[in-house]
Amino acid sequence: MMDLDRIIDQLHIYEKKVLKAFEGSDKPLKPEEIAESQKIDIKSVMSASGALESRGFVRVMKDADEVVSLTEDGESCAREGLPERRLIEALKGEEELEMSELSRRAGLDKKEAGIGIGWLMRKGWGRISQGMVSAVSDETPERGADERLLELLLERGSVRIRELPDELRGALKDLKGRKGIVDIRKIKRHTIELTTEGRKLLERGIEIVEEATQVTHEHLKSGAWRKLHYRGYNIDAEYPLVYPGKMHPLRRIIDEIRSIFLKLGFTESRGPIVESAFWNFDCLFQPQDHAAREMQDTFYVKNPAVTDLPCEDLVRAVQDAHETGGSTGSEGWQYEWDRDVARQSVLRTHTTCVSARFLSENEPPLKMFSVGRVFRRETITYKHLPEFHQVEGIVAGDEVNFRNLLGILREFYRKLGFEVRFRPAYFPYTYLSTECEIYLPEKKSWIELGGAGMFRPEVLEPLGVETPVAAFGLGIERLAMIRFDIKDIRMLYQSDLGWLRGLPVTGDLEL
Amino acid sequence: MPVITFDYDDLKELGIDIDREKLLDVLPMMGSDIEDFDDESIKVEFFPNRPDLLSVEGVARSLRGFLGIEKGMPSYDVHDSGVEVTVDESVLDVRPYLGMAVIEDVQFTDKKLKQVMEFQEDLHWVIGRDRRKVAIGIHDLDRVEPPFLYSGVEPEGVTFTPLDSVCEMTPHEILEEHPKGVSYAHLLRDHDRYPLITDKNGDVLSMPPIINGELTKLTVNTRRILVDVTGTDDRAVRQTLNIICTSFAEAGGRIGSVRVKRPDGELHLPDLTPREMRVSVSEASRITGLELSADEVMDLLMKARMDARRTSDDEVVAVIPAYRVDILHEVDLVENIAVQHCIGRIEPELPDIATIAEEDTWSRADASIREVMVGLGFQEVMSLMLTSEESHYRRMRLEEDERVEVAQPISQDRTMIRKSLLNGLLEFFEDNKHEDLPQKIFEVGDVVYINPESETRSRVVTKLACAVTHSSAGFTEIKSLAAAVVENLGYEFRIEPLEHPSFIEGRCAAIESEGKSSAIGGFFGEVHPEVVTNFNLEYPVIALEIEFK
Repeated sequence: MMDLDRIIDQLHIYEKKVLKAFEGSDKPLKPEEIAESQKIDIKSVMSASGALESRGFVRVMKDADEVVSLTEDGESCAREGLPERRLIEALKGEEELEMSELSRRAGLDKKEAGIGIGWLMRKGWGRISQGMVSAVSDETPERGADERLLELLLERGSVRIRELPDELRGALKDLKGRKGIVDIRKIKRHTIELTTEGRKLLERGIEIVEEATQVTHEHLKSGAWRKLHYRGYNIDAEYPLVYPGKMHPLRRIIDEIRSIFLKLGFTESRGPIVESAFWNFDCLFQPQDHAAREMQDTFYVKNPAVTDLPCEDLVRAVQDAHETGGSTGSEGWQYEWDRDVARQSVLRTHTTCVSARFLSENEPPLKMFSVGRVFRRETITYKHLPEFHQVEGIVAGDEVNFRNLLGILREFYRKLGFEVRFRPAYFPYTYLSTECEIYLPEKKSWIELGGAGMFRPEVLEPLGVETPVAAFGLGIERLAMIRFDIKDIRMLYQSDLGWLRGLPVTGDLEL
Repeated sequence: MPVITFDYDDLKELGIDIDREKLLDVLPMMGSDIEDFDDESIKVEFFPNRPDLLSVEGVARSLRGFLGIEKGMPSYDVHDSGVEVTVDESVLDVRPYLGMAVIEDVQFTDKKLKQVMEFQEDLHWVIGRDRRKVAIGIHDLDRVEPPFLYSGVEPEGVTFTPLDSVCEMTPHEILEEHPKGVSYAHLLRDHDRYPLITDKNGDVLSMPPIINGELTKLTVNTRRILVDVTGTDDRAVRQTLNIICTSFAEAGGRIGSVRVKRPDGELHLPDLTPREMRVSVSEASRITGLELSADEVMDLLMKARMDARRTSDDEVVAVIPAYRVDILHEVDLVENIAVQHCIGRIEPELPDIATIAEEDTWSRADASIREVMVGLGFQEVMSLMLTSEESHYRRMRLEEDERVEVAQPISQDRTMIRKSLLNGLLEFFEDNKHEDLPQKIFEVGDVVYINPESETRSRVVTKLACAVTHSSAGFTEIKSLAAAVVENLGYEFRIEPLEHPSFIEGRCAAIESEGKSSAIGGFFGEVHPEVVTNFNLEYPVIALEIEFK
């Protein structure tokens, strides 16, 4: 019983009124009848009935009817006669008439006359021979069912199809076939019926009291709220969705990585995006004919096509490292180094140039990291983008060794939540080059995520660095794809707003 | 990067009989990526600094050391084959360097022939820079008669039948018509003489770096081969010759030297004289973090297929075989020592360096900007910096101006680096028309301006842009937002009317404000209906962009 009361309490006043309309009646009611008896408008009846129906208190029955009426052309046919009628009238008293003369007399244009002649033949009223039209009989044909239907429609405006006498049904088909004479519209008729559940509510007793929906400023200020009844709501009702402002998931990972580096004591740095080949390649001991420097892998820049080179001492030292190894103890690449090649501008292909610039300006011991966009000449596919984010860290100091590099890496990946293992790799600017592989428990496999190594003396000496430097880096998008379990890297840039809106901000964190 | 494929049986024949699981463990630790494998064969990618690993014989040689089956530098006998070749003055301008060697007692099967061909192509790519720097020809020596001549000929000066062809062609015709000729014509086009190797009778062996003659094509019956390596870099030519010769020798071939007579002197090739390089035991220990003795260093070097001898308590001299082209510096020996010790066995240890971290000022600014925008209910988005003139200028109703342009774009829609973030936001709306309105998005990102004064002739500038779309988005809404953003970033909200082609005239304002040591500038307003339509949008858009100076 309490349930019924609670339900009744939650009903909107219009819903109550619709139920009340069934008091003393066990027949279905039309919305108009309810509107009339309860003094509310049809729209409110319908929306209240819909709400009651969704909770099973009434049934709204829909009954579709087709209604036929005349079009504008149809109306003139009804008044002045169908074209064939007008033709046969015009033929009255004539043996035969030439087609154009006949239509002129009948007051029809060429198109109407054509249609009229057609029906004249079809109805067997007339015949045509060598362009001359004549009537079949001297007697005026009787009015057909189609004409009677036109008359009925003219008189009544519109008629429900199922209310038409049988004899006129066939005529409706004919008129429908003649384009533009009649109009058929579907109309829906509703009746509302009380269900047993609804009857129970009604029998429990529904009292209509004026009630309040929204608590207003006035209610509160005047104290009216003390006397008002606030209707309870159905808390399962539909609600509009709202979307909070959020950071991009990739940004969130970048911040997470930055925070790890900062905790580990690394200072953050940034560098140019349009970079000279010098900083991007030459000072990293990549020979000028290295495959990675070719057009198919690197974005060269048309404007500005060339850059300035840094101070002459550095340029010379880099040149020597390439050509002969200089004073680095290396054999060098043994070719003629070209400073014009080094002046070319490129979109930086890695953030290692940021490390190189930092090393040229800062004294060890130091720890530095940078996060930034890098560019590779890749076509956009689910696997590759022409630009992505890279993070790179370096540690420089007299005592820094390879075990320290592995130590930092293990700590770094552990903070990201991964177990890591190492194997040999190759990068032109490092020795003890190492590939980092992380373990994915759900896939039970190791995947490559990041490279590392000790900067070569051919890199360090020209930069004036006298201590060992451990360096490592990784692509952030790849990490993001693992984190968010996405297969298509494009998701991160050409994002689906629905995906961004639906992604919880907590990531791996369980609250 | 080069990928080579071989059967487990190939390795077995070369003395490596280990089960597959072990092989799959060992190969990566030696320095490679396993691409794929099945029951019979394995596909492995080696690093480009190790062209000596591009044949299965080279892999086996290295594996035997790594597994401890065979240590120390392999020795190869080189006998004098008596073959001579003359390098003629006429070829010096085009492709000056030639290396040549004879290998006897070779055995080919169809599979082996295929592997030799792949080896050759991989070397062309890795060390030869797609044949420009080095190109290789391998010939059936018994089809021709020494002595040979390497000379430059006129494009129409000779005819011969190139490989995989039935008719004789002139060098010129080969460049025009033969598929290989067409592919590599760019290497010769600028020269008026083309390199050619001919025998005593004028029969053509090869037209480097394009194609060999059909005459000397290898078959399963070939027993003696002649290897020619030509190029523009003397060192690379010799290195390539050494790698090929020693690889054949691993398979049982006997290397015969060739007398190369050059205008400036005479030499015998291949020259397999090893190089020597010293390595300090204490330095190797220090940098790897391993406590290594001189004996251990020597043993590890020998596993790397080098010879090693101790010259003092702290110094070991490594004797490096002539096929190793990757050892440039002592540090490379240190790397070899660590790899042979096994990288996976080295215990990580955190460095003992105290440093104090400093955050980049811009990162702090970024975080504040994002805090305000997220607080205002905006979803952050990220766009590519590469965009196109079409999107960045034309669809925005802007005139083109100075910008960073890419020389060889990957596609029509990625030709320049953005100077504004707005078109990226509108593209985002365009991609998300099906999502619920209102949509409120922002981006904080870098753009690049041309700046002739700086070293890189460019300048990175950080910008904030936001855009809102819904059925009643209007000027007042964006003005409220702009004021909230500007004031919360600590600036005074000062605006002036602005005519900006991307916005409706009279519904756009400029922001200009100075702080103590910084300034911001920007604009906001109702986006012009033509711009909205250009991005195929159907609801009004309001937008704001601010630059941080």
